[in-house]
Amino acid sequence: MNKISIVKNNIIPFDIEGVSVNGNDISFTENGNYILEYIECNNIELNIKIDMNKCINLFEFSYDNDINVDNKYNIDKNASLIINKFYCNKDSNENIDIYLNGEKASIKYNFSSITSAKDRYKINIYHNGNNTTSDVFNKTVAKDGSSNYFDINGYVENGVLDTYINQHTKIITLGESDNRINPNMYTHDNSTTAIHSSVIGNVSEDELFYLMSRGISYDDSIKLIVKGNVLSNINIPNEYWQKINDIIDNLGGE
Amino acid sequence: MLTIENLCVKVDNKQILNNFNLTINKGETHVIMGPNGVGKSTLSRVIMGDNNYEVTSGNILFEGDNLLPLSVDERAKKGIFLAMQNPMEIDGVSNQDFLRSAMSSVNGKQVGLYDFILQCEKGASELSMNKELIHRSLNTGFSGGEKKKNEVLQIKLLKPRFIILDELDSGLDVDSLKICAENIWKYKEENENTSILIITHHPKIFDYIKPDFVHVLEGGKIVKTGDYSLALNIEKYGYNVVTKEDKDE
Repeated sequence: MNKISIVKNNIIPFDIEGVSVNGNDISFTENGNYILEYIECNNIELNIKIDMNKCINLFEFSYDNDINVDNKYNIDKNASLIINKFYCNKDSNENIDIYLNGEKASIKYNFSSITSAKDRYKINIYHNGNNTTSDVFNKTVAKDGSSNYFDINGYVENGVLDTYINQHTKIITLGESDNRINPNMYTHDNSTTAIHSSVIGNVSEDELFYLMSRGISYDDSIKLIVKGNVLSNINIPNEYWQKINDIIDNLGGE
Repeated sequence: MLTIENLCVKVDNKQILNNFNLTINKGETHVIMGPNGVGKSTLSRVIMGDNNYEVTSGNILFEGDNLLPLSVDERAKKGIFLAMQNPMEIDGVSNQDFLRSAMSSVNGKQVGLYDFILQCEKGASELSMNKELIHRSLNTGFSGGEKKKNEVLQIKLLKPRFIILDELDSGLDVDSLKICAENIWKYKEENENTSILIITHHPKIFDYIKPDFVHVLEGGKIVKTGDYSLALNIEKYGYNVVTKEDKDE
């Protein structure tokens, strides 16, 4: 899979067909699967552009960074961007702006994280064209002492018709943590379909009982549930599968 | 194998089991029947160690060892298996990861992937179970019959010595009940020291799994014990008539 590495806040030069870079701008002009990894980064500002009629799968990975992210994604007419993203950082402070600029532009945003830290996520999606679609699925495992805030805002411009806004966020808490989910959908048009769910809660006692009644210890049951929630939400490239499993194994239990 | 002595259990401060006594020897199949709400499922959860149920007095001994101080997983590792009336749906946890983790935990060592796949495929095939279910989230979106088949698959993989079937027949069509029950009986024939405790309302399951003893639970304790014919009488005349005969005597 084509990989773009950002090390110490700088895009490492690469030669990938269908991707061009100009300063902090990254343009995807060919269909394909790509990886974006942040290594030793603390301040990221990217402008990502998906050309008309293109379909891009982007896997984003950030581990052990104390990071501020301010990324913009511009998705043209009839283009689709699928983001699968895994974070396990020291701290994350992220502002994401997604612009669905043309008719039938779509975003599918699958984000999983496991955290012991303070994470702030603001995801703004601007439906600027008719028949635009946004699906946001966030799943976070909040370990003891962590703090996780999600603000997810869907905006539909006046006069934009037949849009679809779908937002689901789930935070599983392990121990004491401070968590908030604010889902907002701003639309005045009856043709908008808007769906959302927000869940914050502990691992279910009934789920634990079921797993333990099959001989699985308490700690391993927690890990199984944590791993299941984190991994099932994102498509992970082969080369990151073991890495993410190891991260969860090391952090997964209470 | 299992001895329950003067067991008293409360839930939300309400007495559910009251000086309950039962002995199940190796290889025996016992049945608990009784009207709704008399504590049949409570009994199964208490044996398994659900801490929502408060044991206020009495003992549960499994092969001479006191079960009460043991955690749920420790009881399972001793060879106790509770096939649940409503198996949990756990979204995100793959059935495959769950089954392999359970097998590894019960066996005390990591089960090799090749062995695991072989055993899963064999078990699923014997249960006429869609093999796709092995790769889906645990019980999520499974039909009632698929959930129960997944429970029986776990019996085949985990090889317990004491099996509790809590209303196995609920949510099962006649064909699926036949497949599930025949597979359990075959397992018992291959493992003749295995004991079974069946909790049910309907004697249909006895077409496939032959009980040695049938008990009627009422008021938190066993009020009548008999053989297969007792179950048939209950179906024919109801609990009131059957237990009234005893009271009148």
